[in-house]
Order: sequence, then C-alpha cells, then structure tokens
Amino acid sequence: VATVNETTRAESWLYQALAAGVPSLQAYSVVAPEGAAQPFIVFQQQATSDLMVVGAARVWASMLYLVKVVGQTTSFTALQPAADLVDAALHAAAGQVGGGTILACTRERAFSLVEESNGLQWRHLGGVFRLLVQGQ
Amino acid sequence: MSAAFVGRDLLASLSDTLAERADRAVGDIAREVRDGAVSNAARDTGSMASGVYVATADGSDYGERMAEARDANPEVVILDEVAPDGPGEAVVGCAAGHSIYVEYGTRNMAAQPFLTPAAEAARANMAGHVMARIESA
Repeated sequence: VATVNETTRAESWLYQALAAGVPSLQAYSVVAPEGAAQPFIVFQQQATSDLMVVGAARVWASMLYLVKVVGQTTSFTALQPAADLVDAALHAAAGQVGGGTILACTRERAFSLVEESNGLQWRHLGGVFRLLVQGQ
Repeated sequence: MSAAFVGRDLLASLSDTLAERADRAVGDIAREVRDGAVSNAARDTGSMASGVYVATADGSDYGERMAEARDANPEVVILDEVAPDGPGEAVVGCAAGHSIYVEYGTRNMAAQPFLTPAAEAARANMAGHVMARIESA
C-alpha cells in the first residue's frame, strides 16, 4: 500500500523524460523564471484523483498534467517540432523514478493558447497528459 | 395486430422517456461541474467565478452569469456563448475572457486550475446522476 505523495515522483519523471526526449529545451515546473531562454517547456498539475480499494489501499494516483512548449512567436509552426518531441517523449510512456513508478502516461487532448503581452505574441503548444503514478 | 401496435408505442414511449432523463442527467452533471468550478475559482474581482455558465438543449444561464460577471467587474472582457450541438450534450463555459489564462497559466504566471479539477471530480458521480434520473421515472 502506497503511503507517499506521488506528486514529486510524477514531476521527477517528467523532468527525466523531457530531458531525455527534448534535450534542447529547458523544462520548468509551474512557471519559467524571468528571462528564461525561450522556447521553453512548462508543466503543471491540473487535477488529481486516487484509485482506492478495500482497506483504503491506494492503487495509484491519477494525475493530469498540462505540458506545453512556450515561445515568443506569431506561428504555432515554430513550436511544432519541439511539441512533437514532447509528445513522443511522454505519450504511451512509462518508467521508474526514485520512490515511484509511472505506470502509464498518455495524452488526453492537445493544447494550444495564444497570449499577447506588450504587443508581442506568446504561444503555448502541447497537451494534457494523464499519469498513473504509484508511490513505493 | 393491435397488440403489436401497443408494444411499439410502449417501446417508443420508453425510449423517449429514457432520452429525456438522460438529457436531464447530463444537465445535472454539468451543473455539478459548474458549482465545483465556482467553488475552486481564484477571486480578485469575482468576475471569473460569476461568469461560469451551463448551456444545455433546454436552456442556458449564460445571460444571467454574464451580467453577474459584468457587475463584478465592468471592464471584464465577455466571450460569446458556446452552445451544445444538441440533446444529450451540455457546455460548462466561462464568460470572462481571462478565465483561460487563469486555468492554464501564461508565460510568466502559474496556472490556477478551477474548471479541470471540477470536471475530474464530477466524473466519479456521473453514473449516479444517470441512475438517479432513470430511477425517478
């Protein structure tokens, strides 16, 4: 029965998988620091729920993560190669990380967003991924 | 012959009743998502939380919610209503234009998700809503 917090396991695995799959971009949890070289990757937890069985045994934590490539550009095409690498690194993936196992990671939907700041366009391209995480 | 017609009428009637109740269950689920989102929403002026609406084939509270969002912040950007494609569908939407940036974050602002957690939480109760509507027949 897992009695650990799975969030740090999930994020450690995301860092690990993104570093291996998209080595040219830096990945950040929640928000990139001011002045970070762009494009960059940001991931953030969107929602979580537990699969619980008899005896309050937690089988896994189901965690939704938004993972996106962010860059100052007027076209999603500029971000597409990196977003494709993110998808290849995470979709239908699984793995081990210290203190936990990522049983499965699958993309549930694609994601895109445009924001304007001081007359400049920033675009976000990626996906929402569901991770099934088992703490050990 | 007459028995066959009666049977067909009963089946048609049952089918209509089930479809209506399924529609109502979809509306119940959508309202649960909306209530969860309103509860989760970060608040500054309150316009984002006030602007979460539900639209079903039977109607929508978009107008009321949009007005509340404007009352909370007269400068809020209001988005057009998104309507469901037909029966059996419902939309939980956000009238306040900045909601998407709060839900998903910006290049220099962390996301504060409120709609996704509400939708995920409602998943667990979907079957219950459907059964409640069917059993109330």
